[in-house]
Amino acid sequence: MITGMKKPCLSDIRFLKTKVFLALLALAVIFGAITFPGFDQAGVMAAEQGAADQEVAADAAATATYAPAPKLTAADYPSIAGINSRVVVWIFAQLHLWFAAFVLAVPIFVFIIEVIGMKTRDKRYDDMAYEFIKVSITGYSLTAILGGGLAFSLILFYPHLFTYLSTIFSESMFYYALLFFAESAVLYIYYYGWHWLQGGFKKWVHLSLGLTLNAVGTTLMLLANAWLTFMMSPAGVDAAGVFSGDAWAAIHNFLWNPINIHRFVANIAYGGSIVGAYAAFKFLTANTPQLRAHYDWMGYNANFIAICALLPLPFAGYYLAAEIYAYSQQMGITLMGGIFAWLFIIQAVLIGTLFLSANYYLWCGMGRSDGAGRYTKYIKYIAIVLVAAFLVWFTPHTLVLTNEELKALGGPHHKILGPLGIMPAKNTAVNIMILFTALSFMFYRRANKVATVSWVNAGNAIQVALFTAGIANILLLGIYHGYFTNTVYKVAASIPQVLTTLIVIVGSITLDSFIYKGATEVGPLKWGRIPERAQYALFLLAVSFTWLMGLMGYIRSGIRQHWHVVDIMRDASPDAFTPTLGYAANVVSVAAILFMAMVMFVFWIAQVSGQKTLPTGYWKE
Amino acid sequence: MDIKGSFIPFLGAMVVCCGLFLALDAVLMNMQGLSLVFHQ
Repeated sequence: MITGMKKPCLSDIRFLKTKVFLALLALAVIFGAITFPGFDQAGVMAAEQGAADQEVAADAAATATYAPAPKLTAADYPSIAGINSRVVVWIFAQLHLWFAAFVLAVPIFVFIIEVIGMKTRDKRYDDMAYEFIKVSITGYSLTAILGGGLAFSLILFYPHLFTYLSTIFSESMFYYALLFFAESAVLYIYYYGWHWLQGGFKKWVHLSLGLTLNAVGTTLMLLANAWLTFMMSPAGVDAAGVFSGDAWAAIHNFLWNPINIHRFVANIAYGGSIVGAYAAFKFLTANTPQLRAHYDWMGYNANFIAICALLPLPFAGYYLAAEIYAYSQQMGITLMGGIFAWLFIIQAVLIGTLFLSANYYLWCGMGRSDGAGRYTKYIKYIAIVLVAAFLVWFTPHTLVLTNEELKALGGPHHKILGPLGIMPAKNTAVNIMILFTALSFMFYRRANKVATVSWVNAGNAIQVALFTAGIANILLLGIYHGYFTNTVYKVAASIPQVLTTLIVIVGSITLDSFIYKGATEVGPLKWGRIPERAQYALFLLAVSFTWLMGLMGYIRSGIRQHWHVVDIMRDASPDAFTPTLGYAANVVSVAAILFMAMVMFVFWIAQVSGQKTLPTGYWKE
Repeated sequence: MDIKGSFIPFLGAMVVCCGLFLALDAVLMNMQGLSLVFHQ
């Protein structure tokens, strides 16, 4: 039974009347302008004066129509069949976001792969791009279905919140729906026209469709991001929640761009990990060496995409968290120092898993080259550094202990491990993990090459110096500014740390390109010569990413605590409390399992779409 | 990663890289209104 549904109130009827009046007025003005174009100068002045008066009246009318944010009671939230409304919306939103991230990211790297194919005229790239987009087509339908489920559950379970948000974002929600038509149309032409639009001018038309698809998809994401960031950092409304009428102010709120950047980069990494899992699935089920070679190559490229986006991702996340602090210190402290801080320890474990599995896949992949033996001896040292940095990253500041343990330790703060629980230690560990992942990748690329330049030893020495000096600088900034200065210096030192990491990565890639100019190959890469356990590293990458996004999605949404819209619209529902960490982790895990089941369905559909059965004797000759 | 006979290039690169990184630190801290060395 639905209770507490809102009846049309007086202000709604007045709002409707005003809209109808303004629409009729606009029609009358247009009709008048078309019908009587030859009126005199006095008429023009009178008309201008009249138009100005009408504009003032329209502005006043518009201001008057926006009501403050509703003050709700528990009775304003419908209860349907005893279902927990928060969990329903939570799971629908998370599933929708996972699929949306996947289907928005795939066209980004498909576009890049198609460009590489056009540039190199290597058809393998075109075939791989087509296969990637084929996987995302089924995902696209599921995204739309889950988006519908989310919209319905918001309207049913949180009608007043949805009404309030749709009043403020009426225009952008309408454009969102229109863009969805455009997205569907372009995607279908892009996919179904792939083999039709081949060669010469047609290929350029196809590439332009890919660019359009990305422009529309990214715009869709930006609009949806505006709605959720408005709930975290509202703008364009006064303290009572009365909308000023400036839709751009509401869209361009304080946290909009930090979320846009973080999600854009994360989506690419996530999309790469999902198609990597698809390639691993196809590799494990392949029954010919040619197919194994093809899917090994596809898995390598997917992992490469995921790593390229994963490396800058912690910086985007750090920027987002810093902006949350800048917007509301209370929200920032809840995020990193309050109830949600322990979830960041779980986050560290999951991100560490991402780095370790991506590196492990690279190390296994070195077996494709006969020249890898020169570099495999260094892998154990990279592994030791990665694990040490990983341990520092997830060391908590204070420990959860029993009374006996507390007495023995003299408090919850461990005197040796405690100092590793603060942010400068984490920043240092993250930067070193990123550098050593880049080093793994450098060794992978060098494995099959033999440098022919005369200064190869000096070049290698400069590479070693660049990494050594960079790591020394990161440690100096982390230890000196982290433990011997105040908080302002600690936060400020994170910026030169990040830039040091970026300079070392860019510098080493540039230097390597000079060292290996005109290099000879040890031999052709043996695609498919990779242990099967490496494919499970790709599965681990996809599962860890999914779990991590679910966890961080809960954190981002949960730091609003008892507010629908922070400081503007209070959540008065029976679920307006922060659940225990175990409960939240269980909901996220159930959602992740549901998503994985759906992804397996998508992979299976892609598999059966290529199979044919010949029913001998069934059809008449 | 053979670096035999390249001690001088290594030493030179270390001096240059360390100098550049410290200069970068100083500039970036200065842009935030702070100095490289902490002052109360």
